Amino acid sequence: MTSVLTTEKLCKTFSNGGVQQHVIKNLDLEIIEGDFTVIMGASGSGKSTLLYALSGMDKPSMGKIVFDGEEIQGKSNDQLAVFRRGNCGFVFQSVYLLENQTVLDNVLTGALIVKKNSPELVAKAKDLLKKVGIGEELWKKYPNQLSGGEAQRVGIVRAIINEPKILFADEPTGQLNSSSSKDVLDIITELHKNGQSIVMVTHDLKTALRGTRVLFLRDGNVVGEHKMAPYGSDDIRTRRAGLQDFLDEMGW
Amino acid sequence: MVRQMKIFRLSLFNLRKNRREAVAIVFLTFITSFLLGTFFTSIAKIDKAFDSSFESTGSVNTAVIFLDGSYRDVYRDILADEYGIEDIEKLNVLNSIGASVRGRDGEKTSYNMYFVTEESERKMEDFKICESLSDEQIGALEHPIWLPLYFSITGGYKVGDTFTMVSGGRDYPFTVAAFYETGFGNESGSGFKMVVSEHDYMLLSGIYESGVMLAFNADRSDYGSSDASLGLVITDENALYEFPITEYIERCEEESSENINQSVSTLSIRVQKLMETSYVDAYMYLSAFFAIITMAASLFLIRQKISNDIEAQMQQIGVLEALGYRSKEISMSYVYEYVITGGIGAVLGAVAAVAFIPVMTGIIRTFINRNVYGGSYSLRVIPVAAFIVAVILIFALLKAGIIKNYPPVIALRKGIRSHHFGKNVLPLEDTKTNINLRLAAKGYLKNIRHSIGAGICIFLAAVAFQFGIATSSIITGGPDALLKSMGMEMADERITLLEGTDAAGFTEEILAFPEVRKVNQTIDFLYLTVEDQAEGVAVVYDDYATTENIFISEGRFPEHDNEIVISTLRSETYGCGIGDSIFIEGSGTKKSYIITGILTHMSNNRMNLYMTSDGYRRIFPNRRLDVLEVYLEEGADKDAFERKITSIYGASVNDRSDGSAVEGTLEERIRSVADEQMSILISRYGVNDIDYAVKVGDRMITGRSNMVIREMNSLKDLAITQMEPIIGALSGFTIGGTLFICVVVAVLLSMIAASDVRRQRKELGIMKSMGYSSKDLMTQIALKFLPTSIISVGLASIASVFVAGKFFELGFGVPMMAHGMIHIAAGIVLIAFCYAVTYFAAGRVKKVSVTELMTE
Repeated sequence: MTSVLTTEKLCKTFSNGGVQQHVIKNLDLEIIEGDFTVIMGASGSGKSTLLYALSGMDKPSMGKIVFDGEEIQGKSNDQLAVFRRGNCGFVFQSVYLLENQTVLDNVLTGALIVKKNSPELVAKAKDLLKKVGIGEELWKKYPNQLSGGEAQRVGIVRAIINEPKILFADEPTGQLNSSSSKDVLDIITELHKNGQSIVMVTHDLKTALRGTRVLFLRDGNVVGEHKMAPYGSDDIRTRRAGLQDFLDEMGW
Repeated sequence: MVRQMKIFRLSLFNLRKNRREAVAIVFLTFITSFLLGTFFTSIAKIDKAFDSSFESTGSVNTAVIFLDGSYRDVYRDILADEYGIEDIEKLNVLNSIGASVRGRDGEKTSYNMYFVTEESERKMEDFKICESLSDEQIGALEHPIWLPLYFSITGGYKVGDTFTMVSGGRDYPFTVAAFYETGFGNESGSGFKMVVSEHDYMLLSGIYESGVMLAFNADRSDYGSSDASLGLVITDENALYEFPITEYIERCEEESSENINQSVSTLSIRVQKLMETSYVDAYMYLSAFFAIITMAASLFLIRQKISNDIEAQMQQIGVLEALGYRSKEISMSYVYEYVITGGIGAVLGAVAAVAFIPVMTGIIRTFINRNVYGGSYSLRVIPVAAFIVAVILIFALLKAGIIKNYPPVIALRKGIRSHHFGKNVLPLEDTKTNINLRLAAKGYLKNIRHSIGAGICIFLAAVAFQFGIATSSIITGGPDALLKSMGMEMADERITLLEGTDAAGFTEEILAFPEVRKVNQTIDFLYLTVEDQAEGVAVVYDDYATTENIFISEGRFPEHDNEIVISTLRSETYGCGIGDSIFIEGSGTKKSYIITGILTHMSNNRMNLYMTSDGYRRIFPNRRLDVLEVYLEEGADKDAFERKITSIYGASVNDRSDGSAVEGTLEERIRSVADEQMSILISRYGVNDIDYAVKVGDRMITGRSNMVIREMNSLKDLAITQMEPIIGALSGFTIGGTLFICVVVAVLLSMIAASDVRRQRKELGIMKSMGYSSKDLMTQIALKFLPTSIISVGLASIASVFVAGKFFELGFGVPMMAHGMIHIAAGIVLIAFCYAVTYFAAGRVKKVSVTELMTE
């Protein structure tokens, strides 16, 4: 059990018109390598804020974040950008593909900032696209020519092309229909099975069921934790009931 | 009305949202309006300033000066009888080409000058004093001098200052009694008119050449046909003389049976105006060119901003259309926005132009060295501002009109009509270079159409920038570069020998001086008539390979007595070229010469003639190479050389003529007076050798002229004196202009880069989430604009060679060019500047937050 990310007394405060809003308060957290951590909570509980802080997208107001042994809370924005390249992958609710670039170029844009171009890198991108069901006929298409599910799958490939230590996902199925959602979740689950550490924010029970550890956030702090076996290794009804009970207990 | 107000409020909202761009547009339209306003108010003022100043002096508009005792009373009669000219004033003048003056800094400079007494001055004009010592103070002065206003405005002299003439190594100090406004005689080209006392006039008459001036008013309309003289190319439309001067001189020659052509010079109000206002006109037109650049930049920014706003607000447009707003009404919100910003800039610029009028008046005064009278022409800024607002209105209407192409459904889909994005240019899988470079290249090629407007602006700005740099490089280090285009030798000293002096022997002797590098023999400049039409100054050398400042443009220099080289202007004017023959006339003799070469130069109205001494003697058989051009070694002291020459060979004839200034024993004073008398005999009557004997009591004082030098002066000093004010003004203008262009380019590029950041905020946020740092993204934005800069600057560098060449051709008569490396270096600097500006302006990308993007 190796921790890949820990926080100590993490705080994030926003100031709005002179009013201080403490979104995250003295949060101590540990993310274990290979875990699929799901962060849940009511709207405004600080889920996304925590995700951004953990991933180096945003700087905490106070506290410490140790990512793979390296403290990141004091880094400048550009240092954080460089840090993110090899360590973090992101899957967004709104996908955020680059609209003026083809599917393959979207993936390579993420890859080429880390590594020099090589036939192996291009082959890897194409292989990953194939694995998530994006066939060759779509590689030269633009994001607007894809369905939502296809676009999100491309987004996942772009996020994992650099083999990040942690894959962060913010409501990855939030804008997808149920069929596309299932496809995307299956891919993420498969990535986890292959050893990928994942931290995902969601408020959807079905999505949360894919995790192995569910953290419940309230008023900027983790108020409950629920652990589950890897998805598919237990009975889904029992799994759902257990999570539901936990969420009920948390006042969900 | 309510809908219109809502649209207007949308405009105000956009203005508030994009304050920085609004300020940039206000700034650029302000500059445009200011420059154009200043141009239109000033160009009228310049035109009128000379006329009103000239008119205020009550000066005659024409004067003919007869030198060398060539005047005959019959010439006056011809004017009166044949040309119907009344009120002809006859006055005496002393003329000096390249008179030496010790400047206020103690350095010697040269000016063309003519001297008159107050009585003579009052015959020409009203003698309008501007600034003066009191009558008592003037009365107490031993050597008062009244200077034309030039010496106050540009020369920096004040009343009471010492004004020192230098001749023969001796100083002749005068005290500045007053400055006066004058019609003629306020610039060195045709000569400054210096007013001196009767007593000093008598003294100076021994030093300078005396002549007679006929001053009168003529009206060109009385004579119908135009005239060509002194090498100026004249058509019916731009005749420069108020009456047919060449015809008149021919009539004088007929009447007197004397050849006076070489001894006559003319002053004309039109020539004077051209000489005094052409440079300031050129600067004003350059200002207008800068105004066009800023106008283009404003329009481009407006175009860019409208496009960006429409793109960014497409869904909002769709909603408004869905609510029933017509596309025309929505377009008007953008139009209002730019009419407001452009209008504010235009009005502020116009106000600034009006406020600048007094400053501009001072500048014009400095340029033309005259007091400026007349109206302010401030109302002219109104049509200028209206024009700018109208152009912006039309431009905004046309650009905002594209909204009609977006019906609600399309607008709500952010303007996307189909899912077609065209060919994927530069796919990343083929990337061989840095990813930032590749993404920048992709971005550039995808939006190449958008680069055209920016490219045009950069092109115009770069032309002006390159022009400024080229001009600065040409004039850097003072007048030397311009002297190179004179088409005449600029030796350190020019020594004219007396007739009968062995020029070859004299040359050998001074060549032995250690400080002398080279001596060329030539003949004094004389005007010759070409093809019975315009005149030209003859430049004579036996071996042009020994010259250092005469550069053939085409063909070769003359080698035989029937060969001649003419100027480019003459070649173009007469339509003749190498191999053609032309007739040259002088002293009643006319000979044919074959043109062997063409030469571009700026002196003597660009109409010089280059021939060998044998060729020259075909017209003037008795003339010898009696003028020596002496080139001193680098660092040699010219004054010391003059003193050395004087101590060995005696003072020049001119310098000996002022005997009254010598003090000493009786014998010394007698010899001084003898010298003066001999110099008068030699200079006026062509006497070669004189012996004298004066008996004082029992003693006989004897002497001999032993004079070998008629005159010693420096053409180079004279040319430098005439060039320096032009160079100073040009230098200031080009430095100012270049800095101004840098500001415009910086504003334009910052706005483009900033707008690029705003437009691509989402994409940039996504890239940041992938690990692209702000520096990476700034590099991409700067690199994306680089091809536009390179192409525009490259084309501008080529164009600027022609622009600068044309400017110098118009201003100085020769298409001078900066070294190609200067243009290349300037181009590289400008490209680097563009890159740096876009890079730092793209720094706004630092404010793009990934988290903000994800919480949208």
